Amino acid sequence: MADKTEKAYRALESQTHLQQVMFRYMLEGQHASEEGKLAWVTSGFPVEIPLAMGVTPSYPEQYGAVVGSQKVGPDLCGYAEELGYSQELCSYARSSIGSTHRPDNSPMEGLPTPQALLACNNICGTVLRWYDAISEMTDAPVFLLDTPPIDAEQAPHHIEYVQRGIERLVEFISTTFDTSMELEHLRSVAKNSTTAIDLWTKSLQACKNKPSPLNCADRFLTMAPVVALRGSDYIIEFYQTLYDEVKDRVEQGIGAIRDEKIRLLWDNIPPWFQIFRFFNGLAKRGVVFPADTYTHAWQGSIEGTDLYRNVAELYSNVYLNKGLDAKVEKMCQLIRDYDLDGFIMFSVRSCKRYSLGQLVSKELVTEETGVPGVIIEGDMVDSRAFNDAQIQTRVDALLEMFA
Amino acid sequence: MSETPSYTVGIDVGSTTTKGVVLSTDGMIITKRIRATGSSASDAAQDVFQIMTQESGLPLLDTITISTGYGRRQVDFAEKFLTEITCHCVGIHHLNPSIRLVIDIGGQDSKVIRVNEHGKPSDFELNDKCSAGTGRFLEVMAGVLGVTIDMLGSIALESNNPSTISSTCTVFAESEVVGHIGSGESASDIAAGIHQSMASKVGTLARRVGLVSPVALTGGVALNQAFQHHLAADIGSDLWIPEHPQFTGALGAAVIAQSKL
Amino acid sequence: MSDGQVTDAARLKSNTDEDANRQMIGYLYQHTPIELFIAHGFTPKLVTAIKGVMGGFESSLQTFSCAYSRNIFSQRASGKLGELTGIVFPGNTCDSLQNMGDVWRYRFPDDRVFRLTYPAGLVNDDAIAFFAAELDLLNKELQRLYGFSPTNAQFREAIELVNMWRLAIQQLYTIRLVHPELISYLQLASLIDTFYNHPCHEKATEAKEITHNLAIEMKDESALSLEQAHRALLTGNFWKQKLTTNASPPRLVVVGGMISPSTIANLFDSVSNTHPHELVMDLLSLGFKTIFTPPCNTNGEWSVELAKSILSAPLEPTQEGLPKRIEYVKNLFTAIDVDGIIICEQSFCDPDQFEAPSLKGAANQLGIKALRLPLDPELSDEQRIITRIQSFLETIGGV
Repeated sequence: MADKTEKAYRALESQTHLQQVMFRYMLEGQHASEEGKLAWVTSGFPVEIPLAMGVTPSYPEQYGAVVGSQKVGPDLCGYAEELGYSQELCSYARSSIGSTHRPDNSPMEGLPTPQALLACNNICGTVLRWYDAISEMTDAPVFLLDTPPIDAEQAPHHIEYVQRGIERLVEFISTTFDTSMELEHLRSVAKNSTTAIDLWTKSLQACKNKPSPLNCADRFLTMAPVVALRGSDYIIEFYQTLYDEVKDRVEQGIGAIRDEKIRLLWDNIPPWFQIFRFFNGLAKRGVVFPADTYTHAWQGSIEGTDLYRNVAELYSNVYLNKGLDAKVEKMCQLIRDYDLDGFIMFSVRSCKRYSLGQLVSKELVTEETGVPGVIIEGDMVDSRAFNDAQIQTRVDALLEMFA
Repeated sequence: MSETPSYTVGIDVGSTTTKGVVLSTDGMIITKRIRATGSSASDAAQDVFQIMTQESGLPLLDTITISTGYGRRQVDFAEKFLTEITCHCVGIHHLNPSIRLVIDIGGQDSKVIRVNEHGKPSDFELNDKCSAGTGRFLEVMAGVLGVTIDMLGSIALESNNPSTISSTCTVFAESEVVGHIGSGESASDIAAGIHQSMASKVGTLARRVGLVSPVALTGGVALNQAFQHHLAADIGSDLWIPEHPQFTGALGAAVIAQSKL
Repeated sequence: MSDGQVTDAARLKSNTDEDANRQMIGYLYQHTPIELFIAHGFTPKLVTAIKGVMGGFESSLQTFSCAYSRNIFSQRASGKLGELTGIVFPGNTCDSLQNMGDVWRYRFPDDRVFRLTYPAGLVNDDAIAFFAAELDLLNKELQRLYGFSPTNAQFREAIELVNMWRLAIQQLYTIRLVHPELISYLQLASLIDTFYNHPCHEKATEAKEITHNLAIEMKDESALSLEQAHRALLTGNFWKQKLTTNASPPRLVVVGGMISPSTIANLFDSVSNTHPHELVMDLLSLGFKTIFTPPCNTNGEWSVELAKSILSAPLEPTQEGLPKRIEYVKNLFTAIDVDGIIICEQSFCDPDQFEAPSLKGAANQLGIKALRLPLDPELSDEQRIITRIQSFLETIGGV
């Protein structure tokens, strides 16, 4: 029995370090914007390319997560709705349109002004239209790196096409920012990226241990640098610190939560506006999430002789760019590898690419692994589309299956 | 018809209530009538028309009637039918020509209409299919709180600390209200939160059309002081409210009918 | 009767007989190169959302899948799709259709599901090469499954058929734009629908004859000739000239929305008695946006030529990016004397809902009134839709 004076959840010491890293990210973004060297990028963009060419990235999706966590999602989404954007559209998109429209009423006064918008549709088709809307408001040009979804295996003409896209991207950045690409520089950025991702992956894999050293909220917060700052050198130190802490927990048999009873898989983006309340509430009932499909998306490394081809391969084959088969396989694999008892799928109204198909994959995953799961519906930023009572009932019903 | 009548009729068959107005050619309301629409739009319209005929003592069938509202096509004695958008706009212009924006909250619909200097609509927006910004929303919420719809507005005025109702969907908001009741918040704070939430939904619709003063509020909900208060706060503008806000559409229909005499 | 005519008539007859035996292959995306399926001996049939379909999707798709995908899925689940030997899904056009394709394969494992993936973004040589390769792969898959390899001549014949039909319909659009009194939108819409559901020589010839007769009837009073106006619409280059001269009653354009021209025509027809207007043009995905595909070159590699043709349609619905589309639309509205535009939005449709504010903004800049019209293919709220349309006509035309 856990000590009643202690919280059900153990905070990470690396958190303080994380804040410093993210503060630096924010400052560098502002500085780059003033210098005319800032690009907004989507979370699955091959950011190593702009970085190697001296262009600093800012991430509207990550900003959306901040908006969500600060519980101002309905306000910012509302600003976009006033401009005529439907409430049915992606809330990351609405948050960024809203904050671009009314920066004075937005956290951190919105993201710094971009000089270019770099979108890659390997995470969804929405980004193209979203970035077009931002382009209309800011006059920054859009570059779309098209990575058409892959059904089974990536065909030769597909990889050829994406690789040509990378080459055009390099041309676009060269003209827009009056810069050039040196492959040696790309190689060293890629190396930083790989080092950080390796450390990150090791921390994720440590969660196979019982008790799990990290819970869902831990991973969702600590993934920020690997999303936003992959390729920079200063995040490596952070991921080393995090990995050390994780290793330490494993060695001492310390879990992310006090009393681990049930191990679940999480699928999809989290409800940012109640990330602690949701996961810590479950922690009190002995539920831990040693794995999720989202934070496992940043993997692989750029290497070899043909760097552009390698970038093309790596970024075409991300989780969300593949069909349902691949998603089901990944979930089953995580459930087996991390010895999980069940799963929760968050059906996110904003994110059609991630969520549509869950009704089928839920059945398939259960059939394949024999563990039960539940689907809860809501949104990651717009709390107006999140019904606590309804979700609670569903989660309770799942937990009762383990009693 | 031997000589031109000196009055016209406007009938507004709404989803909840049916309204009728008899208007004299010098712009005065001779008589008016409101009743529940019930299950038959045509019966309600017929009934309102007959009572107004008795009350005014005028042969109303001899003049021009224009119908509006969702049941406008069911009014078989009407010369012409027009939408609520045009009629509300003309009606408000008749009452107060300075108004540039009309916000009308009906039972199933809420609408925001930009009025040009000639009293004609120049742009408008309606709520989506969902009932969150309409009179129906308040009805449902009053039911959840176990108070009458009139009481909902008056108890809301007593609150200094409105509860947060963030859901835009009526069904979701209902369970939020249930949650607030469960956690012991006062009925007055919850009622205020309900009005605030609805005002914010309507405010967003208004900003889509563009906020221009002066702003009028019409429809049955316009009589609700708590809603008036929260809407004025949300859009940052005073609201002009006609003496009989439910009759604006019927009045507008009667005004338009005069141009057909 | 000359020899040539005999041959033509005989051929037409044999085509009709053959038609009855052809298997149907369904396709969901209007920009599908139907020429490929015709060459393979199939009748391609556009699968669209229809009125009155309720339920069937609930255990497979969430409610935030777009109304179009929910409707089509429900049709399949309730056995309303009819006899299809296969169905072609588009890839990379929008997330709802992309994911529905995956779900479909699981729910209906016996269906032959093909996926044709489109490039996104501005069209360049790489995009054409990619799409041509996709077409080649689909061709091989059809060969493998059905055991038939079309000859080059068969490809050419299929391309010529579609070219003939497209040209006729494009000219009809142009005629209606300049002289709306010559052909009703309802008639134009029904010609479009018919061909999409059953493309054949008979229909193409019918459209061609109607066009031919109208072109003779049409007195050329407009600023540009029919040919010039047609070319302007196809290229988006209006040389800052007016295509039309008359402007009464109110001239409307309908934009956006995955809704068929016939449905739109019927909706507007039902208010025309009380609120006179002319629907002179649509920019619907199932109408103008698809019809105004440039003719496919019959010489050269069929897959490359088809790719070029499909990908260079102006206003190609989901791919080319917003700035290009808005520029086209602005030039068009300036050139055709339009009093109001109606922007249709389907619920949970990314392309429609992201574009609507920009379209409305473009109309505002030009001083044209615009209505945003939420419009789902089920038309479950038809009365509300009609009220909105009437209100809009009242704001344009007065009362």
